[in-house]
Amino acid sequence: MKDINKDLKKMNQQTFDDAIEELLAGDMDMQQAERLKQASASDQAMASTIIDAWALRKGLDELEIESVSATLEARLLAIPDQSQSQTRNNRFAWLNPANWQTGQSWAIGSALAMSLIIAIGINSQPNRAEILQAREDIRIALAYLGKSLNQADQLTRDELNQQMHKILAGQAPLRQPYRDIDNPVKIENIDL
Amino acid sequence: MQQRFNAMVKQHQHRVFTLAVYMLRDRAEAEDVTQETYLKLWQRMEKTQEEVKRAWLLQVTRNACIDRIRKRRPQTNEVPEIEDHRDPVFEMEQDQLGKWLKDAITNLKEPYRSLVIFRDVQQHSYLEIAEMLELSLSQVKINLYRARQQLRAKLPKVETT
Repeated sequence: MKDINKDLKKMNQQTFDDAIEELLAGDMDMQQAERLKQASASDQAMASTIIDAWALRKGLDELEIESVSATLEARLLAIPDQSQSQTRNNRFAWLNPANWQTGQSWAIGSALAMSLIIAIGINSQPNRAEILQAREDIRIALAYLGKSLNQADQLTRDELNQQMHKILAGQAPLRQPYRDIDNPVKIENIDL
Repeated sequence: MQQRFNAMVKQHQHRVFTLAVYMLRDRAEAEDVTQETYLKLWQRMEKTQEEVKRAWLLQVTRNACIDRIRKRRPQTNEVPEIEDHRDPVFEMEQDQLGKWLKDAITNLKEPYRSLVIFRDVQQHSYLEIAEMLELSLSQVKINLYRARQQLRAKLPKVETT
């Protein structure tokens, strides 16, 4: 007890602050706690600080981990299956004529038509009418291909124009952050 | 691979979700972020056999939350002030203090907010936190000290008479 009183007299602001920090961090041992208790008995300002810190520590200790709902867990566990079926659908999407509206599918559709025409040509002896028809088909296929390239070109231009317009209007940042899933971007010291 | 993924879901889903809830203060958004994070995990697992660490998951979650908070900004120009309580802290009911603290943590600036969540809510080691936030050990300790000081400063004062 005598030692504690002696310690108390020595306790300057810095050591008191350190002790409060340890209390806040949850690293305080019994001896330090006793010293603080003694200090609080003789100084009201100290007592108030200690109670604040103690209440904050207690509050932090009692904050709970949030539980995931059963629905969310089910959704998370379904990710692999959904992802795989989506990949399967994407793989054959180009076979669906409804998807041929986009430039890439136009090109694929045209290329498919050309390869079919060539295959027919190889496997049989065509007559003049068939040759004329094949030429016409190739002409159409090439026209589709050209159209699809123009369409893709126009889409790219439109997108660029929109972005430039937004940047100039101050609605979008000049530099878009690069995102790499495998190496998440380090973000710190930002004012949110 | 799917078994490994499911194990990661079972093992870490609550931590991922908790981080998102504390950062966003919106359960629906936190659910979306949790789902996005696990989708990224699955895509990563498909590409590589490398073991995915818990730290990576929490890092991705944190970045996704920060992105969402940034997008929110134009609608809410200012961070809402924490509701003022008349009661001194030791008179607060436990759930009232918990709610107050959650708001206070959400209103901390980065990286203080993440540090308090990782250390005081999720009980990660200093070393793990340093790895997740790519900070040195001493930076973690100093910033945690500052974060707690800020929480303390916001705490309703005890009236001693």
